Amino acid sequence: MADKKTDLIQGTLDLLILKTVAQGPIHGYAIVQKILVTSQEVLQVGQGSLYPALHRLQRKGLLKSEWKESGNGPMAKLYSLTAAGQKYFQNEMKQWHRYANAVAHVLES
Amino acid sequence: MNFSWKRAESELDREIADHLRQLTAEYERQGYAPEEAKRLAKREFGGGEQIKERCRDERRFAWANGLRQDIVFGCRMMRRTPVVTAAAVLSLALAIGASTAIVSIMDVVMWHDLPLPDPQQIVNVNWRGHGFPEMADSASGSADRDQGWYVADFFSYNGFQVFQQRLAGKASVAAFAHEQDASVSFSGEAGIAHERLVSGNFFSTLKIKPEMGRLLSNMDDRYAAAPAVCVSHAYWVKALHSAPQATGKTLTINNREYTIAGVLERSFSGLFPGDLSEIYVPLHQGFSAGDSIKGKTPLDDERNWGLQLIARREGDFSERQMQATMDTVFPSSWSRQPKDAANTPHVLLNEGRRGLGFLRENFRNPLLVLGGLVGLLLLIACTNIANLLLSRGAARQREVATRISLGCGRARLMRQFLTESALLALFGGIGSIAVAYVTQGLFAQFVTSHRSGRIAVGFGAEALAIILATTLLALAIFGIFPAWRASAVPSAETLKNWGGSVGYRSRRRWNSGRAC
Repeated sequence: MADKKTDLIQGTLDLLILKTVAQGPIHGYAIVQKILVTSQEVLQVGQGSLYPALHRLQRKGLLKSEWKESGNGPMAKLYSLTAAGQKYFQNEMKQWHRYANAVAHVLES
Repeated sequence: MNFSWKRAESELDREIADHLRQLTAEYERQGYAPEEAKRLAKREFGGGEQIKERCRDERRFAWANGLRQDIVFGCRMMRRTPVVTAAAVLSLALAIGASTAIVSIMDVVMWHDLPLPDPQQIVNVNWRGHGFPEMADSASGSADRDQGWYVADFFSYNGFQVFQQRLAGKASVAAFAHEQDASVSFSGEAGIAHERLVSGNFFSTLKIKPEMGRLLSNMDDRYAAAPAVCVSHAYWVKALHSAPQATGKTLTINNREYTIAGVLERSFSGLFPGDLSEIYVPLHQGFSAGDSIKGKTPLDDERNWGLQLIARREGDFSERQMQATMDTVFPSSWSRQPKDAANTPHVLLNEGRRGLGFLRENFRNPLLVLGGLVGLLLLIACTNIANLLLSRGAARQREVATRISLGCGRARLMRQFLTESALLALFGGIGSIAVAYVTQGLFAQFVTSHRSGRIAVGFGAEALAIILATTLLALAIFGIFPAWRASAVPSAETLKNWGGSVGYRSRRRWNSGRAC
C-alpha cells in the first residue's frame, strides 16, 4: 500500500480538504480516511500537513469548526465550509479543471 | 488574548488526541493488540509537537502571541544577568547618544540650509588676491590664506553700489557689517544687544518676511531717513517681552532713538548657525551715529573696506556668469588701480545656501574627526555586545536543543534571540535620548568662535529619527549574527557530551554560571 501513495502536488491539499469538507461536517481523521478511500488509496494526506492546513483555512475564514458528538463516541472537532469557503472552493475547482485539462492536452498532443 | 490562547491550545491537544485515538482504533480493528496499535498509531502520526507548533503558526495573532512570549522570555533572560545587561544597555545608550549628538551638530554646522526661500540662489561674495589690497586703508571682515591666495570677504560701500547697479535685474546684492555690541534701552529698561548694520535691501534680498510690522527698505537706508530698526523674533521675546504693540515704539540704540519698524519671522536666526544678531539697523543710521572721520563716514570712504556682501541670483543667471560680471566692474570701484596687475583682486563667489561659511570651514575637520571617533565608539560597543550575545548563545545551546526537539523551528528561535537583542537596543535607545540631549549641549559649546554665539541645535523629531536609525543600525550590527549562530542546531557531538536528561533546574544553573 505504501508505494502506491503519491505525493500531493503542491497546492492541491487545500482543494482536496475543501472538497471533502464540502460534503458535510467532518473531523480531521475522517478527512484523511475519506481522501484515501475516494482516491482509491493513492492519496495519503499526512497529519503533519493536514492540521496546519485546517488551521490555515480556518484563519482565512474558509472553514469553520465546532465540537460535536460524532458518530462513534465522544466529542470531535467537526469542520465545515463557510459561505466564503464555498465560493472559494467553486472558484478553485474551475481553476483546477482548466489546469488539469491543459496539462492533459499538452501530454496527449 | 491569553484566555483564547489557552483555549486554542487545549482544543488543539484534544483534536490531536482524538485523531490518535481513532488511528489506534483503526489498528485494533486490523487485529493488533492495544499496546501495539497505540505504538503504530503514534509512529504514523509523527511528531505531535511539531504539528502543534505548525498549527500555532497558522493561527490569527499567532505572531503577536509569539512576540509577547519572546518579550516576556527576553525580559527574564535580562533580569537573570542584571549587571551584564545594565552594562550593555549603558554602553549602547552612550554610543548611540553621542553619535546622535554629533550628527545633529554636523547637520546644523555643515549641511543645514538657511531657513530662507530658495536657498540655492544665495551666494557668498568674496575676493581673492595677494595680501591686503593697496586700494584700501582700513578694513573690517575676515581673510584667510587658501592655497596661496588671500581670500577676504570685505568690500567698500562704493564697491557694493557698483555691483548692485551692474547686476540689476540679474541678481540682488545686499551688504552688512560685522555684528557688534550696542547699548540699548526699551521703555526704561537698559541692556546690551547684538547689532548688525544692514543695507536697505538686506531683507528683501534674503526674502525674509516680517512676523509683525514691516521690514527695512532702501528708504530707511539714507542719512536723512527717520531712524528705524528691525528686531529678531528671539529678541522681541527676550527683551521686548513679546509686546504685541512693539512696532512703532522707541528703542534707544547707542543713545539714538529708533522706531521699531518690525519683528522678523521666527525661523530667521541670522546668516549662520550661532549668529548673535538681534537688532538690524540700516547702514546709514548705524554709521552716521559715530565713526565719522574728517566728516566722512566709512560709507563715503572708498578706501574703507568694511562691508560684507551676500547676494541672491535671479532666474537662470549662473554663479559663474555672476562672478565674471562682478569681476569686470570690481576695479571701477577702486580709488586707484594696483601698480602691479598681478596683485589685482578678483571676485570669488561661493555657494551661500548654508549661510556664511567660516564656522563650516573652521569646524569641518574637527567635527569629522569627532564624528569618526564617536562612530568607532558605537562600533566598539556593538562588537562588545555581539561578543556577549555570542557567549550567551553558546551557553544556551542546551535550551536551544530542547526547544528544537520540542518542535521549535529555526526561524522561531532566531526571532527569540533577535527579540532579546531588540530589547537591549530598545532600552539603549531610550537611554540614549538623555545622553544625546546632554552631549549635544556639550558639543555645541565646542563649536564657537569670536564671531558667533552658541549654535542653536534643536532637539526634536529630527534627533529622535537619528536615534531610531542609529539604534536599528546598532541592532543589525550586534544582533543578527549572534542570533543566527545561537539558533543553529547543536551538533550531535555536543548533544552527546551533555549526557543524561535535560532538567530545567540544572540547565538554569549551568546557564547562569556561564553567562555571568
